[in-house]
Amino acid sequence: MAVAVGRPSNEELRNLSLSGHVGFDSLPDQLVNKSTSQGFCFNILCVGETGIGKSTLMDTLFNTKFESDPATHNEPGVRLKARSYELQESNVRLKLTIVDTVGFGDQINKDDSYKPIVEYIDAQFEAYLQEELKIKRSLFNYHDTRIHACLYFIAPTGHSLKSLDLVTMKKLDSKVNIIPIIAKADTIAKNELHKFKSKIMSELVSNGVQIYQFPTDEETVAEINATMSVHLPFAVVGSTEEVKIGNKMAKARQYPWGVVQVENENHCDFVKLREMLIRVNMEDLREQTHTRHYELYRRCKLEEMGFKDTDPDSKPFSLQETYEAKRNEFLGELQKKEEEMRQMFVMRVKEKEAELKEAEKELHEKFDLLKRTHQEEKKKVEDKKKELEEEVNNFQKKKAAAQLLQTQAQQSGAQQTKKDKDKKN
Amino acid sequence: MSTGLRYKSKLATPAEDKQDIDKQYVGFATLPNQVHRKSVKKGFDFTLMVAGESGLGKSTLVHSLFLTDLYKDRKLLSAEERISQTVEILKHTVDIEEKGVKLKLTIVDTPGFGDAVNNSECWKPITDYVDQQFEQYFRDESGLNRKNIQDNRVHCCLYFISPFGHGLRPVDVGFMKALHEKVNIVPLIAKADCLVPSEIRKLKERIREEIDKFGIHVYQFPECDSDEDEDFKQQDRELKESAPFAVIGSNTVVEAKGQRVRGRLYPWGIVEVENQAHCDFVKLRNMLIRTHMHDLKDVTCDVHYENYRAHCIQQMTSKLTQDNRMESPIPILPLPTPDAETEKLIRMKDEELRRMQEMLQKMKQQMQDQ
Repeated sequence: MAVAVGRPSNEELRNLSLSGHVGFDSLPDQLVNKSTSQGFCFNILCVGETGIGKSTLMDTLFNTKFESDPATHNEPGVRLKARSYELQESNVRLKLTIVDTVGFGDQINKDDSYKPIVEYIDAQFEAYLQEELKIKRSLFNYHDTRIHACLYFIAPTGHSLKSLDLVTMKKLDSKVNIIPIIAKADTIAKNELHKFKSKIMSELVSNGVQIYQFPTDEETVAEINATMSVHLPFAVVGSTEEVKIGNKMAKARQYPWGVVQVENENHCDFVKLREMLIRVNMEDLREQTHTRHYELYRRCKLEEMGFKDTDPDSKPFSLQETYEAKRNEFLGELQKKEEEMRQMFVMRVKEKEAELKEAEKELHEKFDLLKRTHQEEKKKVEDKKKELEEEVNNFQKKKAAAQLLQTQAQQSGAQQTKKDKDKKN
Repeated sequence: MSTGLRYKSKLATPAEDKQDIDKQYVGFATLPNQVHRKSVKKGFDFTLMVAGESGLGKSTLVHSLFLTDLYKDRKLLSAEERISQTVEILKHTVDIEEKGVKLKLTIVDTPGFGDAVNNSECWKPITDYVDQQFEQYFRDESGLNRKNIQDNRVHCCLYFISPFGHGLRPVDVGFMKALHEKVNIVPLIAKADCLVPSEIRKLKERIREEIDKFGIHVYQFPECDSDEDEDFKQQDRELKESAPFAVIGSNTVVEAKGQRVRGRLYPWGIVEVENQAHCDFVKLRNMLIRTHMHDLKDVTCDVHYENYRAHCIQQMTSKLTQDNRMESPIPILPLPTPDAETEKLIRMKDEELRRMQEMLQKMKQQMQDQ
């Protein structure tokens, strides 16, 4: 990418006239040769609801069949799918990347639908920024993935933009070149088309959405760009099928009531879109992406990180000094945090220790209490045992006395019967 | 019209049997004629709801169907205003007459459906409206004076599916599932002039598959009797095979092949709304107005309303038994239903009481354990 070199304003330049042919008029050709041998790269982002015709339009624009399966309506969120292709036309090689928004507009709650898209665009800018900030960098063969053009597909309702379209375009207009197009335009009758287009443009203007302006500063393309701008947004029809019209085959859609020809300017604005997007302004789109959108991103990002262009003494800061200062600051903070964590850890340990000590004390007390009660019980049991033994002794004595009495009684009884017997005899 | 002619032809008898039949002729074969006369005198009413995202041609289609302009002073919102728009319910009623038959037609419009960025539960105002109409009819029917009941129940809902997608979207599925047990849903593919015939066929198949997959009960055309003539049966079969109908509407009359027709003028041709090869508008019109209008009303009264009524009564009786009142052996007269707010309050208080009781029990248990 060429960087603009500034000229100090206090020097005066003198215009000299040449007295012969020097030959530096071949510089543009040298540049062209170099770029051609390097190859070009172009990245398009297609934003639109499922089924609106994004893949078909890409196929029609680039005259090839990019393989892709149609998405379902049941995606839980929006995700971006990027595919890269290598195309060649005469001796010019183009590395084309097409990024699709899968699942856009399908969810019931679309509040967050724009977020994945913005994140993707920012990620590409970030990757380029990282490459730029590297010490050993290789920008000349860096595969540039920044989005150069965003084709926003508007559904042909015939009334106005949808609320989701407005919200999304407002979030994207400062990050990417937006080119709004009306998809499936073969459903809008001629008289309704003009009204629809002006309604869309007025809504975009009244809401402050900045779409891509075709450049009118260069004389060669100013005229064509100006006439084309009047037809924005382009109402396009895409088709990969060919129908026989007259004696040639052309890309068209065959209806029972007629044939819509894609490349017929009376039927739709496809030819205008192709001219503007590819044949005339492709290079300008790439340049705008780099000089406007990327620079804006870079500035915001670096300001966030704390870099400024000039320090309080209004002397230009060097990137390295700022970086060192930031680094030290960061390390200091890290140390402080470590200290804090250590202190907290020590405090916690102390608390736990105190708790455990208390618990230990309680346990000791309980143990003493239990021991005492155990001894008391033991004494009681022994007392009771003694009592019981005494009673047993008493009982034995009584028993012995009773037995004695009984034997005595028996003896006397036996003597009595003996006496009776003697008497009888 | 064919229905009128059908029963008349059954009355015609060959001459030989006439004498026998004269002796046995009772005369109740004239009943259909009497019904016809009475119904013409009473007049008919029909309530049609149209639902779908804005920009799909709903008002244009209604205009083409009934050939009257119902939306004279309509204000369309801009995209900014629609970001957080809520769904409204608008009713337009017109009295139209044709050959002595009067029809009171009510179109219920749902502007704002599916237009906001966050469309969660955007069909709730619509289900509430349908339930309200059922409730009002229920109350009127159970009242003492039933002479002039106004029937505002929704008889049919035309749901417009966007032709720009690959099939049904989540918001379509959500809407149809919320309403399929309350209203007869007739799904339509709107703005069908952006699809070539092969694409229409694929989309119809896809939608039919998805309707089966998600278990949505759309309005089913009734089976025709076996003694109908072959022509009618053939028509009926074609009708069933072309659901969902792919329709195109138009407010303007254009000149095509020397005739003035309703259509849309394109640089590559003219789409005729009433040409069967171009779209299914004629089939829809025949089905909705000429043959199945009364069946739609019958299904609403016999199926959807009865379901609602049974559900309502069940809820009321279960509430009574919850309050431990005596179960009466005779069927309970439906009480005036309290409005939704007080019912909600009552339910909330019930929940709180239950929770407190549980807490008390837990505390008692804890105390016992200790």
